[in-house]
Amino acid sequence: MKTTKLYLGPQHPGITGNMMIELDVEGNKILKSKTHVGYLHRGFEKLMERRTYIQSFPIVCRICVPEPDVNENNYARAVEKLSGLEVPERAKWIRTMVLEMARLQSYLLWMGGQSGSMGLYTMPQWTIGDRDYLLDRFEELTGGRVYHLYVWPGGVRKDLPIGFKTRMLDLMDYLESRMKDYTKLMFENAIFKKRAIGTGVIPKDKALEWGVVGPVLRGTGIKHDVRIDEPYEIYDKLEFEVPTYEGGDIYSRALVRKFEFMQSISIIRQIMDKIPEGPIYNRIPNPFKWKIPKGYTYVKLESSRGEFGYFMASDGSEKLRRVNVRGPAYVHGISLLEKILPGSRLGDVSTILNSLGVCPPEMER
Amino acid sequence: MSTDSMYRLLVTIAVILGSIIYGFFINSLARRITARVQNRMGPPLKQPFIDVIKLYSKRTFVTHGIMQTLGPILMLTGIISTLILIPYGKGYLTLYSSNGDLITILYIMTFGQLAMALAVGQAGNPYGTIGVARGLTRMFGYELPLILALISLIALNHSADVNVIIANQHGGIANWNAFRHPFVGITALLAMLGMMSYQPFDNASAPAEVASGPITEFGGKFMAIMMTTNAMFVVAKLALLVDLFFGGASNIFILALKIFLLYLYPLFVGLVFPRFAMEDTFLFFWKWPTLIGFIGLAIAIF
Amino acid sequence: MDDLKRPTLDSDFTCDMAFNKITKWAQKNSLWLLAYGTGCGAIELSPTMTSRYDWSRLGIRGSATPRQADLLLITGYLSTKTLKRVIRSYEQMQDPKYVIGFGSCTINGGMYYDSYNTIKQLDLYIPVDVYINGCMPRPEAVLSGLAYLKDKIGDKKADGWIKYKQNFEWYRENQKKILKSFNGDNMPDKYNW
Repeated sequence: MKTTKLYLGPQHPGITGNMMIELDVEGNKILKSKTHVGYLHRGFEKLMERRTYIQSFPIVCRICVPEPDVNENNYARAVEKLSGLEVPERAKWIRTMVLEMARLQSYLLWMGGQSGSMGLYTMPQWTIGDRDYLLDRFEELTGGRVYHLYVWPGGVRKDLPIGFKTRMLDLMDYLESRMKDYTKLMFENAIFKKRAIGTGVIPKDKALEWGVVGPVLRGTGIKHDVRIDEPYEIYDKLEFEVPTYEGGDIYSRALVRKFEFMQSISIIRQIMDKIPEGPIYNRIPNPFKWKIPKGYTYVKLESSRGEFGYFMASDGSEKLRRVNVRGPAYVHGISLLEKILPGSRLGDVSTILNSLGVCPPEMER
Repeated sequence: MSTDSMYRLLVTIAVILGSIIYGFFINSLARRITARVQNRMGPPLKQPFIDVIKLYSKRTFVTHGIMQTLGPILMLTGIISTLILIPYGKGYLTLYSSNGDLITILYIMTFGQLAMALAVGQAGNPYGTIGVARGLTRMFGYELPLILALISLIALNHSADVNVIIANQHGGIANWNAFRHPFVGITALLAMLGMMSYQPFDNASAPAEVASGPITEFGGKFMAIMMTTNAMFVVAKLALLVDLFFGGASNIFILALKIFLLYLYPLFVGLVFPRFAMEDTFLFFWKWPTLIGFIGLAIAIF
Repeated sequence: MDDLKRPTLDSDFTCDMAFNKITKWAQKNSLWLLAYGTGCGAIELSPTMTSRYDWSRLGIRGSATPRQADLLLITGYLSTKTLKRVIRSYEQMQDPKYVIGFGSCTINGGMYYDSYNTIKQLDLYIPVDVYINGCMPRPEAVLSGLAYLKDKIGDKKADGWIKYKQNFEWYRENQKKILKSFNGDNMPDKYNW
C-alpha cells in the first residue's frame, strides 16, 4: 500500500491549537508521527529576564491559555520562596479555591474538546456554556474572565465579594446536577465507549519512564498527585480522593477526569465551609526597587493536565535571572505522541490529542 | 410539443426548484432544532439561502483541472435525473417515474457520488481523497442492507415500479410497508441513517479528522453547486423512502410533511451520538441491519 | 502606510448593479470563519460560538478549509513561523475576503512588544478590516467587532482584499523583510524568493 504524508495542522480543526503533526499514513493506519512546534513561540523566559518581578506577572498567566491560574500560583509561590515573604492563612484558602475553580473550568473545556473531536457536538455546546458560569464567578472575584492576575506574591489581590459564598455553592450544586446529563450523553454513550476503550493506550510499565503526568498517568493505574505527595497551599487540610483507573486508554483518562471533577466540587464546598477570617495580603516593598536575595527554587503544583513546575533563579537584583517552565504538555505533545500515535487510526489522532491535554502555547512558551 | 408533455415539463421544473427550496428549508429547520437541543438560538430560517447566494457571488474561481470543474455539474445532472424518476404524488406529479423503475433510480443515485469522486481526485488534496474513500466505504456499507430491503419489496409486490409499490400501500397506516413488513422497514430505516450522513456515520466529512473531507478543495461557486445538489439529494432520498415505505402521498403537502418527519429521525440520532470510527461504520451495517434484512427477505420470498 | 494606493472600486471589483444589493446582503449575513486559532485568543472563541453567546445567530459559522472561508480571524500574536501560514491561508481564501485583527497584539505587539519572535503590526503584512482590542477581548467585544464588520461590508468599506491586490508589491516587500523564503518543495515559484 502507498504511504501518504499528511500534515495535520497548523490550520486544521482537529488540532488542539496552533501546532502541526506530520504523519506517515498507510490506509487508515499511522506509521510515523512527528510533532512540529514553534508556531506560538514568544520567548517568555527571555522576556521575563527583562522585566521586574511584578512586571513579569501579566505575561506569566499567558503561558497556558486554558488554565492561567496555575502559572500565577506557581510564580507567586516561587517569588515568595525566594524572598521569604509570608502568606496569610485566608489567602492560602482563597488561592486553593481559585486553583480548583481553574481545574473545573479546564475539565469542562476538556469535556467539550474530547467529545467534539468525536463528533458529539451537543456536548461542547453544553459544557462550554456551563463553563461560562464559572467564568462569571471568576469575573466577580478577580475582574477578568480568562486572565485573572489575582494571585499575587504575598497573598491575593482582593477579598471574596459579599454573597460570593452563596453564589459559588449554588453553582456547585448546578454543576453537580449537570454532571448527570454529561454522564448520560458522554461517559455512558455506547459509541463513545467503543471509540475510547483501547485507543491511545499507554502501557503501565512505560508510563513513568516516558514522563507521563497527571490524569494521564493516573489513567494507567499509578497513583501520583502533587496535591497528596507534596501538599502545597492548604491541600493537607482538605479531604479528597485521588482516583486511579487501570487501562491507560482514553476511556480510563476520561473516568479519572470525571472523578476529579466531582472531587473538585467537594473541595470547593469544604473551602467555602471552613475558610478562616483574617487578612488576605502581606504588603510587598516598592515593586520597582524590590530586590530579591540571590538563590534558586523549584515549585510545582498539580494542574488539570498534570504536574506543572517552575524553576526560578534570582541574582539579587530587581529582575529575574532565569526561569524555566516545565509543563505537562511538553512531554505529552512531543515525545509521548510520537510513541503512541504509530499504530493507531487516522481518525483517532485528534481524540488522543484531546485526551492527553496537549496545549501548544505551554509547549513553546 | 403537445400540451400534455408541456405540462409535464413545467411540473418537472417546478419540482426541481421546489426541491431546492424545500431542501434548504428543512436544512435550516434542522439547524434550528439542533440549536434548541444544544441550548441556543440557532441561525435564522433564511440562513442556507443567504449562504448559497454568497457562495455564488464569490469572485475567485480556482480550479485544478477540467474534471474538478465538471464534477459538481455532473453531480447536479445525476441528481436531477434521480429527481424526475421519483413520483411525488398523482397525475403530473408522478413526473417520468413510469420510464424507470427502482433499479434505475438506485443506479442513477450513485452517479453523482462517483462524479464527485473523480472531481476530488483531480483536486489532489489528500484530505479530499481520504474523505472520498471514506464516503465510498460507507456507501458500500449501507447499500447492502438497503438493497436487501428493496429486493424484499420487489419480491413482495412482484414489481419494481415505484408507482405499483405506492398503489399497493393504499388504505391506511397499517398498510404501509414499514409497518406491514417490519423487518424490511427496520432494515431500510437503519440503512437510511447511513444515507443521511448525520452523526454516527459522518466520517466522510468529519472536521476533526479530515478537515472538510471531499469538499476540502471546493470553494465559492463549486461549493454553492454542491450545497444546492445536497439540498435536492436530501429531498430525493427522503421522497423515495416515503414512497416506498410510508405509503407515498396523494398531494405535495402531505409528502412535504412526511419528508420532514422522516428527516427528524437521523437528525435526533445524530444529536446524541458521536461518530463511529471508519471500520466500525462498515461493520455496523454488515452486522445487524444485514441480518434483519435477510430475515425480511426470507419472509418476503417464502 | 502613506504610500499605499487607496482601493478603488472600479468596474473590475463592483458587481452588476442589479445584483449588487442582493450579493452585498448575502455577503454581509453569511460569514464563514476559517478555523485557525493562531494565538491565545482562540480560547474566547469557544464561548462565542457555543450556547451562551452563539454567533450562529448572526450567520457566522466555522469552516475547515481556507477555500470556503470568508473571514480570517487573527487571534492574537503572530510568530514569524505562523505568519507564513497565515499569508498562505489568506491567499488561498476566495474573494471577497475579510480579516479581523483580534486582540491588542495584532495592533502594536501588545504584551509582546519586545519579543524577538512575534510581529508587532499586522496590517503591514495583510490588510486588516476590523481590529478588536483587548487582551482577551470579551465575547461581547468579539460579537460587536463582527457586527461592525457586517456594517462595513454593507457599506462597501470592507475593501481589504482589493487593497491587497492593488498594493501587492508593497505587502510582499514587507513580508520579505520578515520571512526569508517559503522554500517549500511544492510551493509555486513566486513564494520562493
